Amino acid sequence: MQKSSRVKILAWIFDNIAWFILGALVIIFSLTIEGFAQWPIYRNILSHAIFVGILAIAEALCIISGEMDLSTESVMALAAVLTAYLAGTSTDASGLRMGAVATLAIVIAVGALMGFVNAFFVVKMKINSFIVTLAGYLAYRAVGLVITGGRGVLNIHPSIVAVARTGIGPIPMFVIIMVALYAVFHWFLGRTKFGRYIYYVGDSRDAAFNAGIRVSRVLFGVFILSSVLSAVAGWLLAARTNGSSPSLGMGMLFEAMAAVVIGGVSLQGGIGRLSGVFAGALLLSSISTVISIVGMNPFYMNIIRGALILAAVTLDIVIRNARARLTYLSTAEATVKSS
Amino acid sequence: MSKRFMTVGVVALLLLLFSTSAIFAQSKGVIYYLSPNQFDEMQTAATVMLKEAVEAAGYTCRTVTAGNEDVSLQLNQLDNAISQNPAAIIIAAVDGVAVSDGVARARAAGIPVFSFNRVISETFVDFHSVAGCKMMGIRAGHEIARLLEEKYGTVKGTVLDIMGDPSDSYTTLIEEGFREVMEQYPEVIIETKIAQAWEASRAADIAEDWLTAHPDTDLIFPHSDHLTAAVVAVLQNKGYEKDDIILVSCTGMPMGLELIREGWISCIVEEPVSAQAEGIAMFLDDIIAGNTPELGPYLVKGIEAELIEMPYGPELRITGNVIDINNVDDPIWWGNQVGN
Repeated sequence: MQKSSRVKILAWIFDNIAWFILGALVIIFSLTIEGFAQWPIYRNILSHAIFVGILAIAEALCIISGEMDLSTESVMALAAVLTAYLAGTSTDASGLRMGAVATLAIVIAVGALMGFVNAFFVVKMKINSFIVTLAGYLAYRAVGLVITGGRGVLNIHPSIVAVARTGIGPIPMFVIIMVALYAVFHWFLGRTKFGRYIYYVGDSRDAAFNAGIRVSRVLFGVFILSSVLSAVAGWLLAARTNGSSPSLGMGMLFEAMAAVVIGGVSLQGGIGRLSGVFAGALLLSSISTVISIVGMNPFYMNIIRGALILAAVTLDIVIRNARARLTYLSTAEATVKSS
Repeated sequence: MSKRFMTVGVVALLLLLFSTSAIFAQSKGVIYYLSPNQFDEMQTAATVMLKEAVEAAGYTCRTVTAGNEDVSLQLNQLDNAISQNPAAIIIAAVDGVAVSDGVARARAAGIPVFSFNRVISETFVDFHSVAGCKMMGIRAGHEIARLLEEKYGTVKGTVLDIMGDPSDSYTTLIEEGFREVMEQYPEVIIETKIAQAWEASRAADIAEDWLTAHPDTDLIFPHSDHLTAAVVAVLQNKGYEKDDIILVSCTGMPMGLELIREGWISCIVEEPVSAQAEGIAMFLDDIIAGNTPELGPYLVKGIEAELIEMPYGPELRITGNVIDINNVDDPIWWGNQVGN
């Protein structure tokens, strides 16, 4: 094999390293853990990844644009509570018993509003997005608590719950929705003008501005998309649990962040692909599934989860450095040849 | 013109001050309640019930919440409360050890401290009103043994035990009591999992994964009703019927009672929130006056309780009862007292 072909193959492997880590772990788990190697378990891994997976798309969009959105988890929680409140049949619900279309439209509108508020303070008031969305993280979930008085809601409209119970053949609807969202946003980032603008803005805001890109419009779009995605995740979360409770979705922001980092999105902005983020979300889901089915002292679980995430990210960084070196060597080789 | 406005303003301000003084004059004093979080339905209900009970006893109750179990925030709130020199401070400690110094500071300032719902054992506290979570676990254990015996004629089977957040003594004490009972039954296989942050969809994921790998599971025991509700959603999604898997739960939230009525949950060991709140109110005057309450049995809101002396002070221990289909509509349960 020619040296340049080897370099290309290595570069491709490095670009998709999150998938290789995921594949290796799934093979190891399948071979070593009793009861793991079966389709229902793989199906669980896929369908359980949906909430962290969708939040990770939202987070990745913001991070690629050079911003941060810490409010995603709370927007999701608010959307879940709102869905259950509007569609629930238990005594603590609104009594409106709305169906799937109406509730989805409402939570998307609410999500868009939250995203607009975030974007307004970041873009127009020039406040750091970390601070603005931290405020959102604190406030939006609390809005949900105000709506329900801090109480849980049970038994929501069957048309919503059906999303969690149906599928096409052996593939659950959750998996189809998640894959579709990843495919759409992968296309959106890579093939549309707006998607490419997100990379340009994240890479260099000044350069993007000088190139005639309306940076503020891009950022408004990114924050609104991020919150709308989070709201959709919340609607699905209510479908999954057939209701809502005040702590729903708590802690998922950090898992989504972990998925984004494992997936190779640079925290500096301008770099990252959603395919890697998808692998990151599946990796975290597979670790959770393993912890759920094997017998072990429950107090060790978070240590194992933390160690595995750290190992995955460390390996990713080592390989990234190797890839940078590979690029440098191949460039140097090309320069020598041409001279 | 401006002089007239100023005069009206001063008069209005004086009237406001007089009316405020009149309100406080009717109160026996201000009592602070420091709640640990706002994301737990039981704690939200407890805050309302405690405020009502304290105000019914003639005090003004100011409540503050320590975010989401933020111990440093609760310590700051404790310092702020001390600075207001209240008649008493009631605290549901985020961390019974970490708040000890703050509690000692309050007592040193002459402010009686009441511990609500959670034990503070590292320093002296003037009064505890707690559920006895270990006893809840023991009761749950006995119920689980009974239900398995009803199924098999002997106590055996597989139990999936879903704890809440392991940093919360509520779940670890239930676990301790539950394990203590189940030690007597070696034929019962128990697998314990953790729903971090008490997050319901994690409980759903755990149940789904576990049932996929171990479909012959007999019983699931989530430590709180909102986790149980998510597990029920999984059972429904997977096509299970109501009696296929036995469900035993704890806490007694409105949604838990609803699931008993629907036939999904066999029984719940209640955390008697309303009685715990009343237990505090019953002894407020005595403790604030510096009197020592008499030890022994009490009846608090119709629930048997016992005041015992512990190394860290007097403790009113109110153990929750078992709720099942036969008594689920009893208004004594806090889940029937809140909500719509």
